[in-house]
Amino acid sequence: MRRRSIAVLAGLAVAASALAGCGGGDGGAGDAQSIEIWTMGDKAKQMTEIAAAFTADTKIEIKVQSIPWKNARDKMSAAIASGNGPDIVQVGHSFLAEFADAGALLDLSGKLSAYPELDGAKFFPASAETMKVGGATVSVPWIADTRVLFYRTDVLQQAGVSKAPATWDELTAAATTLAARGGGNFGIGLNTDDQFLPLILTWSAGGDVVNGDQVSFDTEQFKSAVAYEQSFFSAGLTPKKAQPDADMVQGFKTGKIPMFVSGPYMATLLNNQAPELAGKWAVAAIPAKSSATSVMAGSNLAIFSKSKKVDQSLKFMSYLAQKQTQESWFKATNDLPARQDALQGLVAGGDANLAVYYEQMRNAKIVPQLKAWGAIAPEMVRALQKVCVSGASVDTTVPAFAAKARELSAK
Amino acid sequence: MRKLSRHRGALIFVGPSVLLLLVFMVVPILVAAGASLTDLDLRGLADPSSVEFIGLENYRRLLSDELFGKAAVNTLLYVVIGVPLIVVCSLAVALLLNMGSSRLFRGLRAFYFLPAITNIVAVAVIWGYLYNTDSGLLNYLLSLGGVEPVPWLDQPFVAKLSLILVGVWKGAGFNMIIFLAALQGIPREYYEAAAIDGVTPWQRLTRITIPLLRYATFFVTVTTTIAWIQFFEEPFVMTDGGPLDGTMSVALFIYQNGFNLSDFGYASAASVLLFLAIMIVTAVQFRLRRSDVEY
Repeated sequence: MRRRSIAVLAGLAVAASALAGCGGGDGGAGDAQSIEIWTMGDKAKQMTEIAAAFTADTKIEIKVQSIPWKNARDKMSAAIASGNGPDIVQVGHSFLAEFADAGALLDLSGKLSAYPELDGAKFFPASAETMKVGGATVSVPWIADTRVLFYRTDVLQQAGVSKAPATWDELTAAATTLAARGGGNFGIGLNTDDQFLPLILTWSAGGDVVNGDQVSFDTEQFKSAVAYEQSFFSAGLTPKKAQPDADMVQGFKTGKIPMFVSGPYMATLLNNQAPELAGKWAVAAIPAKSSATSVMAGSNLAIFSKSKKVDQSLKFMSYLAQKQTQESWFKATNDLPARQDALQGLVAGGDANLAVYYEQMRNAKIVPQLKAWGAIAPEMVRALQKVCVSGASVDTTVPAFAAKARELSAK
Repeated sequence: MRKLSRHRGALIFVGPSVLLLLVFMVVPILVAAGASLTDLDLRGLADPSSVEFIGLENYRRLLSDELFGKAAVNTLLYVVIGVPLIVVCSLAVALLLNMGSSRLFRGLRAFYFLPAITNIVAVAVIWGYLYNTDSGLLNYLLSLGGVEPVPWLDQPFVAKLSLILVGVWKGAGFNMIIFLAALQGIPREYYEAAAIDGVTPWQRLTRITIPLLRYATFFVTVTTTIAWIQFFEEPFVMTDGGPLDGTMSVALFIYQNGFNLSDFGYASAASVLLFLAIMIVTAVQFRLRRSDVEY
């Protein structure tokens, strides 16, 4: 329990912004030959290492600050309010539209032609789509992420499922067979907290959730996606609760949850926390109803609108976009490159999982680039939870959510 | 003016804290009240000229917001269940610990106080493990007794109770110290007189100790009520308001709208309502106290 008032906190944030509004420019880095970059997550060490070659080459020093994902938003809000921010900032796809709308990201239109490495054609098409917000180019792709189906090859084999399910019907059948093992075993782990899953299912049913710049959840495809997700819960094929990654790893280890949908970062987690499973699991493309479309997530790099070192920043971003840098970044962190030929080069190394990611990323769509998406996504998750966990009817829940989403996007 | 100079000594002592209070409490509350009448968002922070005055629109939205209603009901439940639990638990522990002053009792005192000074994130992580439905210690212990696994954090109502349990565990230690101090302030003469009259231990407790703890009880009740109305950290780190918004509190609602959705105006409106609720509840408590008998 906190004894301080939240009202006070909220008020302070606003007051601080008013007071700090006169700051402007980047406060920290004094000399012209250094730029500051904010990376999200805990990869400051790797970023510093990878920047060493750049510094040696150009004499531009790179100051790295890593910000935990959970604080990314607060930090950026404070930076926007005070005008005191880094030169380069890593922005997750889902934040791009909102930060761009707030004027936090420098408009790079017309500036990129001098940097061939930052050409959109170098990246996966879906990743390249995220460069533009409302007609202006505000960021360049950095790392990519997608969702695929993870499965235990040995467990599926034992249960008589000879290959990874490739269609909705096959997935249901496989999950039913696996759950029939009994003894508290499930068929698949579907996380009701995941905002990507309903999107992926809608896309693989051949639909979409936006129409131009309008959200449209009132479609047959979205309904069928929700109903399909619900079917796993009502048949008891998946645990009826939000599952953090740790639970997924644990369930995967014991075979209780032999399949789940997640991103490449889960592969890293499995390698670290369940090394004894090596060789007993694989990934496959998202099962299709009409197409095997997944989500293209990841983060981009953008220049903070108040930065005074635009040229140096672009130079560094161009360095980071080089094929070789992208490959070494993957080797250092397991983050997949957003640059298409870099991942292609890595696939040539013979890793079957990487080949799946590569194919999946070529068949992927991006999260709707709407300012209101940040408010719509939690409502979507809420609607899904109502349907999946408490068994609410799809026919009444979806229209109610669709109306709410329209209202939020109109704001 | 002359009056002012006469109180100079007092002003020197009181001034700084009044100033701090003004800058860090009163001004932010006023700012929040002002912001609650606008559509302030992320863009508004960068460019104040884009902020629009929208009157009471945020309040109208709040009253028709299903989630806010849910958060208000949950918060009410937190208060109604949590406050009596903390008062009773901390009083009981204090009475037991007051029975002796040996090294054992001093050790126990520290033991009960530890949760109050433990970092909430560490607390949340550990309790998260204890509460884990499939592999948690609590369900393991229950399974030894042949009890079915309890969905500690997976079912909306049970999750609420689970969080209250953590809140009580964490809050009882602090209030226990207050009760202990009050207990030790009760003059021994009362007990000696009672012993001469030959009262039973039960009478001693109900006729002397508890009535004399009235002021401490009042203090603990008021501060605990305020704390539960602002119940935030446990749901924030353990459940994020889920499952199915079953643990969403008003404070968490404010945080999510303000800092996750950047809807600062809306969050400010909710925080103003929360502030008013605290003022009213506290005022009622003081009112009820006024009719109290003084010893």
